[in-house]
Amino acid sequence: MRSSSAILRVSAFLAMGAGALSCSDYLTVENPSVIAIDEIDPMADATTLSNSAHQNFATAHGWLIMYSGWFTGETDVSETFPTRHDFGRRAIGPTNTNLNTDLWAPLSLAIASSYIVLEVNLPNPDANLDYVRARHALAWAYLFMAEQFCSGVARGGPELNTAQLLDSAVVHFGAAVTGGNANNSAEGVALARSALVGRARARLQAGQKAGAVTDANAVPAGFTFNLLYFDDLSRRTRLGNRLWQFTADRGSIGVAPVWRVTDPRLKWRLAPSNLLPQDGSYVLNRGAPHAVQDEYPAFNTPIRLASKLEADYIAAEAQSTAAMLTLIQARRSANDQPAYVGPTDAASVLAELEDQRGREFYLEGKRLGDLRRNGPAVRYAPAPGAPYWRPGAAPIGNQTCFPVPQVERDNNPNLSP
Amino acid sequence: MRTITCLAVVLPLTGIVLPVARIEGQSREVVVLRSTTGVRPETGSVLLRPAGLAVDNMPLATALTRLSETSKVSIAFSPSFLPQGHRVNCRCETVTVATALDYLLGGTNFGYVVLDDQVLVSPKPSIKADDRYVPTAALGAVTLDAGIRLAASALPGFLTAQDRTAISGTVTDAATGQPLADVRISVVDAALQSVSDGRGLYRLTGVPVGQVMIQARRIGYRAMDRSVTVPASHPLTVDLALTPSVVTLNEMIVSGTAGDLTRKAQSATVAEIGVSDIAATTPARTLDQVLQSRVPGVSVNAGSGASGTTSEIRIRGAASISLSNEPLIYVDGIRVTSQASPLFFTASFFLGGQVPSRLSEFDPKEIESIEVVKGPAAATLYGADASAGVINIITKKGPAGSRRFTQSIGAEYQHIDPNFVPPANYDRCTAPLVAPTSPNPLCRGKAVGELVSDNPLVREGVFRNGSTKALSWSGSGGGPTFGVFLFGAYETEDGTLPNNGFDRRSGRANFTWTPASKFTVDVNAGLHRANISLPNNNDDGHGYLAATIGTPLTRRDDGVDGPNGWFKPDGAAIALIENTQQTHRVTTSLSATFAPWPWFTHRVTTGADWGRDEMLRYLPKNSRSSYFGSNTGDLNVARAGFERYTFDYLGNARIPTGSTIVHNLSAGFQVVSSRQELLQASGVGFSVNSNNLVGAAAAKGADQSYFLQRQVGFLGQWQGSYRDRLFVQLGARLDANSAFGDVADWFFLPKAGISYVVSEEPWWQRQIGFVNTLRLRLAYGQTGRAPNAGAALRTLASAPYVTILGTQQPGVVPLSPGNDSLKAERGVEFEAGFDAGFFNDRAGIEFTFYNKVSRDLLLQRPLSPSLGFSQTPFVNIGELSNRGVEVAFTAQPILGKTVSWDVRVGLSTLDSEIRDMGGVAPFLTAGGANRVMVGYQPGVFIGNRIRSIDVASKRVIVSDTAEVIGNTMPTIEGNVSTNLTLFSRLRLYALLDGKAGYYNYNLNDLFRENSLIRSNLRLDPTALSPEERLRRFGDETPGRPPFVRENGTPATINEVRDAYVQKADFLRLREVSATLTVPASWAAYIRAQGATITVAGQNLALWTKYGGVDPEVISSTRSGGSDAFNIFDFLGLPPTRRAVVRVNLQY
Repeated sequence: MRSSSAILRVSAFLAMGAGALSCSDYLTVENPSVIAIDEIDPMADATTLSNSAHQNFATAHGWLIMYSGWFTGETDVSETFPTRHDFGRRAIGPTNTNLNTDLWAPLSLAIASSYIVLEVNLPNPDANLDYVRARHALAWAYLFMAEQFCSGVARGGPELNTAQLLDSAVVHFGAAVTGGNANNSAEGVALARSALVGRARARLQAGQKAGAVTDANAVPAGFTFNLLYFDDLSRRTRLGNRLWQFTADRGSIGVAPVWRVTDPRLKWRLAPSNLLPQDGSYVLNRGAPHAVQDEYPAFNTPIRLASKLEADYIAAEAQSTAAMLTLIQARRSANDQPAYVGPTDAASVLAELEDQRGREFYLEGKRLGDLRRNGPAVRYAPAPGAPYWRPGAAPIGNQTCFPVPQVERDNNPNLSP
Repeated sequence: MRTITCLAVVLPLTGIVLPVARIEGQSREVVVLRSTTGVRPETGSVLLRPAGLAVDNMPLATALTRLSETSKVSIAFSPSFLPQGHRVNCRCETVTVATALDYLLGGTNFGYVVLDDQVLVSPKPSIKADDRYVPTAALGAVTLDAGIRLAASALPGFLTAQDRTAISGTVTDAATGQPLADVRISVVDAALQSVSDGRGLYRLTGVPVGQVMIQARRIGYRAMDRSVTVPASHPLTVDLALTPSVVTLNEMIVSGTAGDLTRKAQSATVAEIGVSDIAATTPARTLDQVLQSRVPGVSVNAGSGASGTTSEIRIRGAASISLSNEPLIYVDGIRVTSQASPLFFTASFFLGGQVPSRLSEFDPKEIESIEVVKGPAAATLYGADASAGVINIITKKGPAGSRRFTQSIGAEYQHIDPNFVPPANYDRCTAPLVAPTSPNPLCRGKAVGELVSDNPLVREGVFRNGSTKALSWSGSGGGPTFGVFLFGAYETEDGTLPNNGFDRRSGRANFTWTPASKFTVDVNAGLHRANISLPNNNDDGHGYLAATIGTPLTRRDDGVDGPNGWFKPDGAAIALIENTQQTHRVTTSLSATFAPWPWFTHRVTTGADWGRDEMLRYLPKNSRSSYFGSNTGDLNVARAGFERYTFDYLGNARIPTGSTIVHNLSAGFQVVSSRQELLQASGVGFSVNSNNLVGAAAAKGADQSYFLQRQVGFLGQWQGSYRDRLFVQLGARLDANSAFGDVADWFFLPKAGISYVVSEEPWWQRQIGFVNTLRLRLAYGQTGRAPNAGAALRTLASAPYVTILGTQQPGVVPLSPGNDSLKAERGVEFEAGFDAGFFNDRAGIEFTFYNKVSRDLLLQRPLSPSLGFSQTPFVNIGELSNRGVEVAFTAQPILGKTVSWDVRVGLSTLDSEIRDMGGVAPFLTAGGANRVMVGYQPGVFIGNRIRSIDVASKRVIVSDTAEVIGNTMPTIEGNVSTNLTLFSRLRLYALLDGKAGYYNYNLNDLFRENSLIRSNLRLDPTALSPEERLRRFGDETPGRPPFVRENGTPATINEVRDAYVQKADFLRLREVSATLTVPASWAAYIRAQGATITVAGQNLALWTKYGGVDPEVISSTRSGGSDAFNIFDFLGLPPTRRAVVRVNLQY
C-alpha cells in the first residue's frame, strides 16, 4: 500500500511538473481568424498590400457615391434609418453613426493602408507598380475627403482643411502619374492616366484652373478608368457594387423625381416588383412611384472613376464660358437632347454645364464636389429650409459637406481640445 | 436525558476488559464505539486531546503506555497480543491522540475504539457479530448482550462481504409526517449513498457492521447526523424524521471551495437551489426559469417570448463593460459552453434577442441542485475567468448500495397564451385612395384625410395559442458498490407564431462506483438533441412584429402584389421563412475520489462538453415581392462546433492539532481548453425551393472562423477551524490564459475569509434564546475575466481584393494595433454578512453586503478612425463598482400535520457605477441610446432632456447636450414566494417578483409615432393632451424644428427621446401552482407507488407604468461586450402566459 501511494505521489508531481513545463506551448495563441502582423513580409507581400489598399479605396468609393447621392438630391433615402435620412436632409450630426462607419472609417482605411505600402523600401522606387497603385488610391482618397468632408485627417494627424487635402491629392496624383508612366506596364499607364484626371479634378476644385486644363488636356482621347467590383456572396460589402447592394438588397435608393428624365445618360426605371423600397410607404409619402437606378444593375458592375469625358468637362469649366457652351452643345447633341437655347451669361452656362455634368456622371460621386465648388449653379440639391418629403421630419439643413465624426475628434489628440 | 453506567465486559477473543455502558431503564448494555482509525473524531472526544508524545525506537506497548500518560487518556490494550519486537518512533508532541494512535498502530493489525472516555486497542480482523446484536428503536445506540467482541469491526477497508449488511427506512417530514423524496442519505467514511424515493423510502447496502455515522441531507431541512450500530445478523431499519429548517449551516456545498465543505465553514455566499422541488411543484420548465427570482442578487431577464429563446443572467450586476457578463456554467465540476452559437450574433442570422438557450439543454428533472457562486469572493478558485460568477449544476446520482431500482414518469402539458395584442396601424386617406376606383378598401369612399386603421396581425390571425408537451422518465438504483441514475425526456413546443417551436430530446446516464471504501468513481454522461425553429422578429423587416409599422394605406383588394397593410412581407410569406437550428450535445464527466489515508483525499475531475449546431436560414424563392431584394431564394447554412475540456485535480489534507483545532490544506490545478469553430455557406438564386442546397445556388459564398483558448490554474488553500465554529480561510490561485499568449505574467488571485458560528458558543443559548443560530461571515477574494485568444496581438484581417482583370485575390487590411501589456480584468470583492435562525430555526435571514470592484477593466479605447484599424484594442484602464445588499428571509409561521405555511422573501439592491475609464471618452453603444460613462451604470440611457414646454408657443426647450435619463439594470429586485400545504397533500404556491429603478427604451412607440407615423396618438390630435403631444413630438409646425436646445440650435426627436425612455419598474405574478399528492391507495390503481398532480400558471399578471407591451422585452442580441448594454424594445415578442398541467408517477 505504501509503495503504491508513493508511486501515486511521484506520478502526480511528475504530471504537475510536466504540465508546468509545457505551459508555454500550451498557452500559445491559436486563432487563425486573425493574422499576426509578423506573418506578413512587407517586401515580399507588397503586391498584396498595395492591391488591398486599392480595394480599400474602391470599397469606400461605393459608400461615398451612395451617401453623397442622397445628400445632393440625386437619390432619395427610401429606407427607414433616421441616420441615413439625415444625409437626405443635409443635416448630419457629428455623432451620426453612419457618418463614421460607412464613410469616414472606410476612407481612412484607404488612406492608412496606402501609406503602409509607401513606407516599405521597395526596389526601383521611381517605377515600382506597388507604389503607383498605393499613390493612386491615396490620392483619390484625399480628393474625395476634400470634396465631401468639410475637413480631413490622415492617420491620426492634425486636421487638414480642404485646400490642404487637395494639395495632398495633387502631390500623390503627381507621383502616381510619374511612377505609372515610368513603370510603363498596362496597369501602370492606366493608373497614371487616371491620376492625371484626378489631379485635374483636384486642381479645379482648388481653383488652380490652369493646371487643371493642362492635366485634362494631357489625358488621351477615349480614356476611361473603372473601379472593378466582384460578386462574392460572402464579400459583397467589400467587393460588391454598393449602389446595387443598397438598391436590391436593402431598398434604400430611390431615384429622385427631378432626375427621372429621358436621357440615355440617366439610367433608371420604375421599380419592378422585387425591388420595392424598404420603407413600404415611400411611394405614399414621396408622392411619386419608386424608381431605381439602372446605372449599376449587378454586384459586379464597374464604376467609372476617371475618363477623358470628365477631363473635357474639367477643361471646359476651367477655361471659359465659351468652352463650356461648346461642350454643352456637343454633349446634348451626342445624347439626343435639343440644343441649349438658354441664356449664355457665365452663371447660366455654368448651371447648364452642371446639369449636363450631372447627367453625364449620374451616381459617380462627383456631385458633392460640384456643389461645393459652384454652389447655386448646381441645381436640384435639396434646398435649405425646405420641408423634407418624409412626414414628421425636420426641414432641409444647410450643410454643404460632411462633418468630421465626433469619434475622430474625441480620440485624435491633434483634434481634441 | 438518559444516564449511563459503566460496566465491564470481557472480550473473549482478546482477553481485553471492555467497559460497557448501561442505559438507565434498559436491561441491555450500550457500547458507544469509535470505530474507524484516523477518521475525524467527534467534538469533545478524548481523541482530540493533545498527544504530547515523543518516542524514539520504543516498543509499541511502552509507547502506548507513554501516550496514555502524556495525553491523560486512558488507553486499554493487551500487551501480550501486541506484535512482539515492534518498535516505533513518534514525534507527536503537537498532534492529537487520534493522529498519534494512527501513527503508532500503522502497519500493525491493530485498531482502536473509544468507549466513553477510554480508548481500546484491539486487533483489526473483525469478529463476526452474531445474533446477539439487536437493533433498538433508539437511533444512535444499539443494545447488546454480554460477550461483545466488537473491537474494530467497522474498520474500513478490511471488511469482507460477511461484514456488511443493509440499512433501510423511511424519511419523513417531522412536522407533517409526509414522506420526503430526494433526501440524500450517506454513510460517513464508507462512500455509500442513497436517495429517498417519492415514498420517502431509502436503502443502503454494503454497510459495514458496527457503528457507523449516517447523514441525511435535503435542502430546506436541518441536516441530520446519526450514529447507529449495525448488526451483522440482519438488515437494520432506521426511519428518519427531518425537521424543516430555514437555516442550513450544515449543508454540504461543492462549489467554490475545498476542504471542509459544510456551509458554515464557508466565508463567502454560495446559494443553493433545490431543483427537484421546483421542477416538481412550480411551472418552471427550463433552467432559466428555475433560476429566476430564487436567489437574491441573481437577475434573470427573458428578453423575448419566442419559444426556445434564452434569458440574460446577471449576478451582482455587470462585472465587465467589454466582455461577456454571463456567468460560467459548470456541470458536475466541468466547465460547459453557455454561449449560443456565434452565428446568431451575425447579420446573416440576425434574429435580435431571440437567441437559442444553451441552459435549456439541461433538463431540470435530471438536476439535483444548482449552486450559484455569486462573486469573486467565492469564485477565486475558479480562476481568472469567473468574475461574473459561476453556476454549478449538480446532476442526480444513483443511490449506491440501495439494491433496488425506482422509476419516475412525468407528463406535462402547457397551454401558451400570446399575452399580447399588437397595436393597430393608423394613417390618413389620400385623394387617390378615396376614389371609387381605389384599390384600398379602407379608404375607398371615405373623405380625404380620414383616419383609418388596420391591424394585419389580428386581421390575419397570426398569433395562436401555443402548447408544450413533455414526457420524462427517470430511474435510479444501485447494487452493493454502485449506483446508477438514468434519465430520458422528450419535449415539444409550438410557440405562439407559426414558425416558432422546438423539440428536444435529453438523456443522461450517471454511474457511481465504489469499489472500496477509499475509492469512489462517478461517471456522468448527458446527451441532448434539439430542433429549434425561430421566427423573424426584433428590429427585423422580415419579422411578424414589423407589421406594427405597416400602413393601412397599402391595403388593397384588387389582387395586385404589395405589402397590403404589412410593413413588407405579409404573414404568409413570413411564415415561409425558415430559421432553424439543430443541436447535438454530449456532456461527460468523470470524477474519482481516492482517500489513501483517512486524513487525505485526492479528487480528480475531468470531462468534456462537445456540441454541434447546424443552422439554416432560408427565404424561399417566390413569384411575388415577398422579401427585400431577392425573390429567387436566399440561403444561409452553418455548422458551429464547440469543444471544451476540463481537467481538475484537488488534494485535501485534514490535520487536527490538539482537541480543538483542525487544519484543512488543499492544493490542486485545473486546465480548461475551449475551441469554437464556425463554417458557413450561403447561396442566392434557386430554380426550385426543394433544391435549396448551396451547390444549387446561382451565387455562392463561404466563410469560416475558429479559435482555441486554454487556461491553466494552480490553487492552494488553508482552512483552519476552531471547535468547529470558527473558520478561517486563506487561499490563492495562479492563472494563465492563452488569450495573452505565453509571455504574459501569471495572474495571482488571493482569497481570505472568516466564518464564525457564534450561536454554537456555550454561552449563546443562555443569553439570546430566541436567536438559536447566528453566523457571522466576512470574505475577500479576487478573480478575473479574459478576452478571446489573440486579443493582445497586433493583427491583420483577411480581406480580398479585385484585380485589374476582375478576378478575386486574397488581401489583408489592418485589424488591431494590439496591446502587449494586456491582462485579464480583475474582480475584487469584499462581502460581509450574517445568517441567523430564530425560534428554533422556524425563521431565518441571510444578509449580505457586497462590494465588487472590477479593476484593470478592459475597455476598447476608441482609436482615431483615421488610423485605419477596424478593431480597437483592449486596454486595462477602467474600474467598475457594483455593490449592494442581498437579503433572504424565510419563515415557517405554521408547521403542522394539517396545515403548514412558509414564506420566502428575497431582496437585492445594486449600486453600479463606472468609476474610471482611464481617460477614454464616454462612448455610445451600437444603438446610440446607451452610453458608457464615468459615474453611472454601464450603458445608461441618454438623451437631450426636456427643460420646458410652452404649450402656447409650442416651443419645447431641451438640454444642449445629451444627459443621463436612467439605468438599464434594476437597482432593486425583490420577490415573495409562499407555500401553503394543506392536509399534507395539497401544496399551493405563488411567486410574485418585481424590479425597480431602471428604464427601457420604447423604440416601438418612438418609431410608430415619429419615424413611420402609424400611431393614432400622433395622427389623432385629440388622443393626447397638448403638453403630452409636445413632450413626445415637439413642435409639429412645418418648417420648424421639433425641439430647440437651450443654446437655440434645433434638436431632433431621435436626439431627445425623453418621452420614450420609460421607467420599466414592474411587479409580476410570475408563478402560481397547486400540487396534489395523490393517496397511495389511489396511485395503486395505476400500479404506481406514488403520484402527484400539479396545476400551475406562469406570467398571470403584470403591473407596470411602462408604455410598451412588456418592460422585460429587449430586442438586441446582447452578445457580450458593450453590445450587452445596447438596450431597446423594438418589434420584440413579449413573454407569454402559460397554464400548466403536470403529472408525476413513482414506481
